[in-house]
Amino acid sequence: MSVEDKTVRSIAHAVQTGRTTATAVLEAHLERIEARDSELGCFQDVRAETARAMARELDERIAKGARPGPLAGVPIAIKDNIMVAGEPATCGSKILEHFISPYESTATQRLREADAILLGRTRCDEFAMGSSTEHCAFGPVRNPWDTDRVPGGSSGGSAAAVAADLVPCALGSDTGGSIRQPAAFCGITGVKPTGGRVSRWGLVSFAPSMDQIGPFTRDAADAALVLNVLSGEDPRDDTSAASPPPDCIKDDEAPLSGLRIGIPAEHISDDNNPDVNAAVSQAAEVYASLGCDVKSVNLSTTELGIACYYVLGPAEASSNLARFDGIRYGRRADLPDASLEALYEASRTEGLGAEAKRRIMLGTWVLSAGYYDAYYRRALQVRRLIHDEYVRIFNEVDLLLGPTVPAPAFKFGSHADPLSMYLCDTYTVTANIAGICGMSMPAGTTTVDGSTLPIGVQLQGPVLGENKMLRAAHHFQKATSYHELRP
Amino acid sequence: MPEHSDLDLQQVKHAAALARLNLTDEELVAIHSDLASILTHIDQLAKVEVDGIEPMSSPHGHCSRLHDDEIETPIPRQIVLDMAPATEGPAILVPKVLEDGAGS
Repeated sequence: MSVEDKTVRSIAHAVQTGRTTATAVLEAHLERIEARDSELGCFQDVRAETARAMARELDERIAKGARPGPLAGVPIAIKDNIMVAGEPATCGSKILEHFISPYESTATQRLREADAILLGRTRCDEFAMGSSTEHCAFGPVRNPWDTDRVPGGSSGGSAAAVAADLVPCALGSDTGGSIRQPAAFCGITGVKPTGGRVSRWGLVSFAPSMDQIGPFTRDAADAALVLNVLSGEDPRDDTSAASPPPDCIKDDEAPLSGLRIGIPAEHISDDNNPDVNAAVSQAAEVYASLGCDVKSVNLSTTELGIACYYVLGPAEASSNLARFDGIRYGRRADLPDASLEALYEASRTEGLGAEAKRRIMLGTWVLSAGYYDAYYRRALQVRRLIHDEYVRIFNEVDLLLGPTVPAPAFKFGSHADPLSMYLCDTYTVTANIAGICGMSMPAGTTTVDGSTLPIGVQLQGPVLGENKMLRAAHHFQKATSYHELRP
Repeated sequence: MPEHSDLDLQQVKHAAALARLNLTDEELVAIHSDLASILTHIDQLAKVEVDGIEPMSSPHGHCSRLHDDEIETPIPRQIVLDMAPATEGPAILVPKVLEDGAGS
């Protein structure tokens, strides 16, 4: 089979109805990875043998007449910070280079139960901290649209793998934009579910009040199918939502007429690439033509997002990454006669990269005695203002539409100043701060230095509003063909 | 709210010690400059009127419920030991914490 243009739905259907086998699907994707990934670097680890065993086992069950699951035979790549029992999970960090996961994440367990094939592990910025995947200790990932450019981050390997048709679906994690921004840079669909929609059990923590696992796919209908499998309460994650899965698929075809869509005026900045603003306007026109009520709204807390996020995120990260001390797991410095303190310091200093250190330092500072109230407590108060403004606005409109990122994919090394990299996430971080859902979908292209690059637009919905959000994305994709464009 | 200019190199060293990071002088200078620039951006939070606003540590309104009181199977001991960088028998090896005689 050819892997191009195959959706999660078409693969699962073909396997379920016996028109192909999970093994044939897997082998076609392994061939594609063999042909393309030495150039792109999406995969940290292709798990060919375990994937073959999973596919064989599924094929045997189907041959015996078993009814396969909703993701039957669909190869799915997993971001390298989501644990699969017995497999490495480096998180893009030298400190976990030889770490083997002792247990399975709920997300991958649910994919297994749906008969998906876990095909391998994708590269990411170290501990999911970054917007370019340049902060991966094991090498960068290249954007399939222009290999001189970054795929975005932190889930860059997952996004580039789907964009290059190496897999029809990949899991990422999004703490401030790490699914939506690379989806925009790579021209695919990426969903950050509501905080708590997908269990975080087995996701290596960066900032647990904002971390969320979600899918990258070619289109919204595929994302809906995968999200249905991933969603649901999990007693092992206290923050998981006790509401049933969104069942986005059922309502896919219901018309959009009367849906109220707001465009935050603060997101249409003159500092954005003009083609990005034009893509939002065109998307607004598409929604108007589908019978939606589209209007401009104000999201005045937008400008506070990055400031708030770079207190909360690093504060939580500095606490979470304290566990990497060289004692119980991960890299231990080779200092046989050192004191315990010296061993902690040496192990962390050798094992952690520059961006992780920067954020740990920032988080440690804002939590330190004398500064806690001024930075951390105040940021928590601003978080409530951001949250409350979203609550108010979602009384007025059903969804928000705007740019995912101010500009298209940038070249390697062009955001060496950390703050300029952080500002890429201006339009995405507030969804994590407030715990609402958001997604990016392709909505146009632009030409930069002779390269055609995709542009993404962001939809945001209220807490547990995935159903409405994915339905709106699905209708946009039925009315347009941006999601069918290939690098 | 303190101004970013409050942050001097000595305080960066203090934060590194708290974070258990052993940074070279060069790294300290670079991180000092990065933190100063990021904190300048963060300083805009100081201008926001937040009197009487309840801090929101998590947006998960549905969280922190009690677990069922059931015994679960923990991770097998051998798997835990296999993860550790240094072990001896059923224990994870660490440098000596107490001085000789301190525990007697």
